Amino acid sequence: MFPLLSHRNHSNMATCIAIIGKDNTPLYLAISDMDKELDLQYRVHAALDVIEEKCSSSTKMNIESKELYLGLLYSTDNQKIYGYITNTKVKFIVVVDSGNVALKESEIRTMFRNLHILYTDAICNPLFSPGEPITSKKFDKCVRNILERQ
Amino acid sequence: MDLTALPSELLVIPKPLIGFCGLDVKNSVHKTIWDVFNNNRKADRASIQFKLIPEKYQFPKPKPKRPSYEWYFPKGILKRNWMLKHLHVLPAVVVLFQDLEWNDPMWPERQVQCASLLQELRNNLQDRNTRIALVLLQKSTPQQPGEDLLASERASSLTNACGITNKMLFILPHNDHLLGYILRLESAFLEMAQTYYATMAKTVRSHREQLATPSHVALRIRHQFKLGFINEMKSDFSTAVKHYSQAYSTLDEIKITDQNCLEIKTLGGFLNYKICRLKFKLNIPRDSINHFMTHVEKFKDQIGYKDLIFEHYAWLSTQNTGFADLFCEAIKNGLPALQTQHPGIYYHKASEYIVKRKDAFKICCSLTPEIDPLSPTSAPNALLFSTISDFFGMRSTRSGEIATEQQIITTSQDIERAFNHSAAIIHLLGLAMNQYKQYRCMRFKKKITIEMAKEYHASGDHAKALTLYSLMLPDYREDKWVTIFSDVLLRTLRCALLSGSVTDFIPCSIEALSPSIFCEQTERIHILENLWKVFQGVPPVSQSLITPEIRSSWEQSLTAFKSPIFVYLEKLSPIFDTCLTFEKAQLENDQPINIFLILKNVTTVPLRICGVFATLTDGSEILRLKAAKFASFGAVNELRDHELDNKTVGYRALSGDLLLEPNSFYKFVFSTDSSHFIENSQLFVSYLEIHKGTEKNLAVLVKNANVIKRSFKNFEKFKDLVDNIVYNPSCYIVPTFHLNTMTNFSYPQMLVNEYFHIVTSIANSSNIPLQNIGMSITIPSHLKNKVFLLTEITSNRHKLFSQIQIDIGDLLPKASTNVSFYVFSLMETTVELQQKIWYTLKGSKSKVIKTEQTKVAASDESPVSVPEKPLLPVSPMNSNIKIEFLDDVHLKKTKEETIQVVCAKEFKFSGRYYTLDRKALQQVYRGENFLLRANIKIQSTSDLEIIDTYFICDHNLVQSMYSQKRNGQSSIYKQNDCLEDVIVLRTDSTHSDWVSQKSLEAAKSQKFPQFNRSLKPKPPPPVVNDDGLKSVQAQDQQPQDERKFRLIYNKAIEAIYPTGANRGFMKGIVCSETAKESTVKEPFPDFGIYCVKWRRSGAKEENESKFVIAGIDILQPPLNIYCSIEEKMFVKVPMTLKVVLKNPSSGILHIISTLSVPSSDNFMCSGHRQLNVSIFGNSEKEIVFNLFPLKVGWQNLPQLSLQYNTQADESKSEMDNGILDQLVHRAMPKKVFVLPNAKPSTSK
Repeated sequence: MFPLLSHRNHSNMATCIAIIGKDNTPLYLAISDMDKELDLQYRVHAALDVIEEKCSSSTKMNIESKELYLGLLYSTDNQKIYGYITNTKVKFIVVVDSGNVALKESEIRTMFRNLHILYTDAICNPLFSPGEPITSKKFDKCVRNILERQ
Repeated sequence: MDLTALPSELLVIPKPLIGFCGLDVKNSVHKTIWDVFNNNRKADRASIQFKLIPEKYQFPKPKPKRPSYEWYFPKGILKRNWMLKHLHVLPAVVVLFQDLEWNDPMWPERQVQCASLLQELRNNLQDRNTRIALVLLQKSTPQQPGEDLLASERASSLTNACGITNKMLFILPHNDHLLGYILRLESAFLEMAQTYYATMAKTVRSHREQLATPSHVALRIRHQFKLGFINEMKSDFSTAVKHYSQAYSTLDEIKITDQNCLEIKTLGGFLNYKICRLKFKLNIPRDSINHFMTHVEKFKDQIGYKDLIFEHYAWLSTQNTGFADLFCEAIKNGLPALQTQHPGIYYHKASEYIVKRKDAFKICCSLTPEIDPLSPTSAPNALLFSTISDFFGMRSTRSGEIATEQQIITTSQDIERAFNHSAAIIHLLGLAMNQYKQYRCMRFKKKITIEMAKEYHASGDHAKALTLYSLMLPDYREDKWVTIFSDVLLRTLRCALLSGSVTDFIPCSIEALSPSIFCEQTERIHILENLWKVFQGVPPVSQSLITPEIRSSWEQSLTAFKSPIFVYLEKLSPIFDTCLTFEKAQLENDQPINIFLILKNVTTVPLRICGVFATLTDGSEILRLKAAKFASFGAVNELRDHELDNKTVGYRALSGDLLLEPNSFYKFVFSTDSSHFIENSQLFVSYLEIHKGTEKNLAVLVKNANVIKRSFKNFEKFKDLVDNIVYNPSCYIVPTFHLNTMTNFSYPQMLVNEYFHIVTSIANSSNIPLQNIGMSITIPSHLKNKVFLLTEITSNRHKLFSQIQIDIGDLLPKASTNVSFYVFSLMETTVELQQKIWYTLKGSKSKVIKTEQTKVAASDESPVSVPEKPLLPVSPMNSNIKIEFLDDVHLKKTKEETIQVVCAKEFKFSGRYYTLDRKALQQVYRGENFLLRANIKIQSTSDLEIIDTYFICDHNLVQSMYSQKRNGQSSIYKQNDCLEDVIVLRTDSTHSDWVSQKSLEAAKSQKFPQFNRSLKPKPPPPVVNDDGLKSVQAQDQQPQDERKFRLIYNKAIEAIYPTGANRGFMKGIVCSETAKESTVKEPFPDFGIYCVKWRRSGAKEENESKFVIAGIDILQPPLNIYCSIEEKMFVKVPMTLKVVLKNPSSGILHIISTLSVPSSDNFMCSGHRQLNVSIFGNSEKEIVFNLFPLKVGWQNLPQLSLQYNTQADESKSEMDNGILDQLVHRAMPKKVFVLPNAKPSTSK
């Protein structure tokens, strides 16, 4: 379903980047280590709970809030999961290795911002049907660049 | 027994222990007292543990204290029995209960007995600091201290005898206020216990001071732990945390080796547990969580013996479980938890560690082949060391020596074998699941459910795993995370296979074939093979793994399987792309119906099916059809050619099995005829059944035939099936209507106020007789009371309806009849008459054959049998035909139509008032003659014959005989022709004395039912004409809403209560005047009705248009002047000019009348030219002038002038003469035409 490139086993910027639609179905998934695909998908899927909770509580508190970056959603022993939500309720989720201590939060923010730009470019394609998985090769290539940047 | 488990004495909250002696629970009084102490210990009671100490009980003797620790090396850190001893064995206070009244007759003996008991206790507790108290149980209420001398005396003797202070003596009266006394006793005991523990703490601290050398680290830890524990007993929690933390950090000073690793971790776990609990208790949950995190982080890599790595995981799991329990407890005590920080996370981690523990143990066993993890040896004997060693976390042999490494490993592995990992995992997952559910993490919960199912699967409980998996299947399917769903589906399928569940196996297998499931082609083929085996009643063989139990369970479930199984394709991932279409979108009754099913197998494997059925419905009737023939197409463009370009294709009969090749297209044809359904209904296919399997084991794949609705067409034309076929989602059966109607108008246009004749011819065009034919015509509601219907025209009053119904009766085949009626309109409009026509005939409601539906009827449990709501809104295209069943045989058909009649204006009417001297009149004087000019302009395009015009004036007015009538009684006028009537009117009353019909004959006007609302036009305000004169215009039909209760009569004369010739009261005017509020501008009553009788030239029916003439103001004049002269005057023939002056007032009028003869010689005048006239009230005076005309032609008459005689009547002045002048001017003729002497004979 998703075009997946062969993975390389060095320490990546992130282990997984996911774009999830308004209806919480996956639009795009890039995973660096295919052996962990299922487990990562489960984790990313579960992270939607936290996003939902954060969004529902934040709308209650501050509708004006334009902050798209949701911060750390949850962490496990091995992974940290960050979230970002666009104004159209498209969610971006990035999973990074807990061991990657050098990674700063500002870098994660930048990563999300770049992802958002790439996503916007991709869906601007007139032949793209909204709500369908993103199959653009160019998009995939660019996202993987983000994923595998040292 | 699990070495890493936290012992119960650690888990309980330490409470001061108080022992009771001398209480015999067999004695009811003692029992009550004990119960009050021991039961109902809720949070509001002091935290104390009470214990009954049996008689002759020996407390443990303290060990001899060693003077110095210098050469002492402890074997371990914390002794296993220490906490238990202080929690349950060594009381802080021992209380002796004695039944002893102050006035006991045997007092001395009792006192001695008491003293000896106490002494015995004291001996027993030798060298302990345990406090002792004596409680005397007494029946009587004690008096105030000092009042009861006997009591105080005996009390002091008792304390002396027993060697106790009076603070240690208590009296407990066991009467009404027992609980109150006991609560007070309790707090006294607690105080004593506190001092006991304080002393104990002091002792421990004094030991600590002796420990200077670093070799006594273990003892320092032990002492800190003890201090923490004692302070916890004292309820001094912050001090307790301090000591525990001290102990915890001191642990770091011990170097961890494989040998002491377990002990250090155990102690670390204990201390962490205590610290976390107390920090929660002290309401610093963040600190507690952080402490736990760093604790786990610290010991995460301290594995100890590599061969016992499972033990490390067990420890980690225990840590998490313990913390999760503490977290739960804190939440119960009011701590709010978060979605990202709640106990579920820790339970989940604990379960994950047990998974690791299990895996590690399995690896460990595989490394040492003599241990078989699956078959536990009869282990207990093999235990080389007692798990209850003297110290926590220490392993020793039974003989108490420290065990060797090999011994430890072997024994631990033996113990591990007895541990049920799966049960522990499932238990923890269950706890985690509850927590996740509580903190709204449904996806986490689902994930945990899957983990639980996996564990059940791993533990061999396939049925339970299957239940959990199949619960999660719809959830994950809905979430559309395909990878996850594929995983869950295949796992479910595997569990179904292993547990032999046919009902799960078949749908799962079918869904697994769907291309949206990630699955290898080989595996898919294997799934298909297994599925086919099940259909044939053979247990599916799993890849060489099938065990005899599974085979037999399959055999059982296959015999028990009840065919068919229904599989709802809507709920599964797609395996077919289908599109159902009717051959025609609309067809006549009794024509054949063909339905096509276009089906594409979207899987990658060929699918064998054994039948295709479609269920046709019109919303109430159901018809199940079997596909009889089919055609196949290799590619979508072949299908497209056939469908859209009418390329023929060979159909084959469908019988037996059919193999659907992947990615091929099949077209199935279902045929029936529309006589199964009633006409005027919309047919659609509600659902589709595809049968798969064998006679014995059949799966019915049910798919709803939803109407395909798309907002956009796909840009690839072959992508959507529906783009490549002729798509008719529904089929309408056109109803037949057997009657033909034709409406004929007598003229193309109808006129206002005309009785317009309409003839409708009705013909039965069919070959069957029709019964009860009827027709109804209805005026649209917005025209009610403006447009009316008549069935006939009589010479007199007409009956007007807003709806008429005409019963025609029966019509034989090919017969016809005419119906006629009239329409009448009061306004210019387009009338849309609603015509309904109906008939009944023998119908056939029960034609629908129900015998074919056996199979679906048998499967009533099928939830898709009849969709509650029709998939299509039943909106017949010819909605003007309605079909009702009167009973089983009779059918009523109704057709609705609209007849449009244009109604145009017949005349334009205007009426104006003038004075006699032809000036526009705005106010009329009472008694004065004035003129009404009525003008009619023909508007109708067709010629009209005006039969008659007349004016009916109000009772208060008099119509002069001299009114100028139009000459020629009846003549034909064309469009834009005009005609005029001038009518002379006089009124004898002003508005104030206006005679109404009510006053004349009250309450006589109620029973007239009809209604022309516009008979009286809106009272026109005086309008300024172009010439600057003001005129009153009586307008005709202007629709207006504020006037109600208007009456309409066929003939205007009937609208009048006649009170004379062309005179009377207008009906209904009274009520409309009262309905009018004073806000209306013109309060003047109407002066009458102007009527025009007319007909179309050449027609018979007479019509009458009526126009209400609005009134004007009526004034009381000072004088009425009437002038009369002869009708014809001849030259040189004397004539009289008679002037009648009438005084309408009650006073006397004095007037000077002067006739001024102009200088020209047109008249000679005789008689008094100037007269002083006095007129009495309400009487009149006649002045006569004799005139002699001298010239022929138009001559100016001598002018009369009137003046008030100011001498006779001083109330009048010269100023008032103006009005007299005006009156004269209005009333007196100015000119006369003098005829020549035409009749000389008469003049002679």
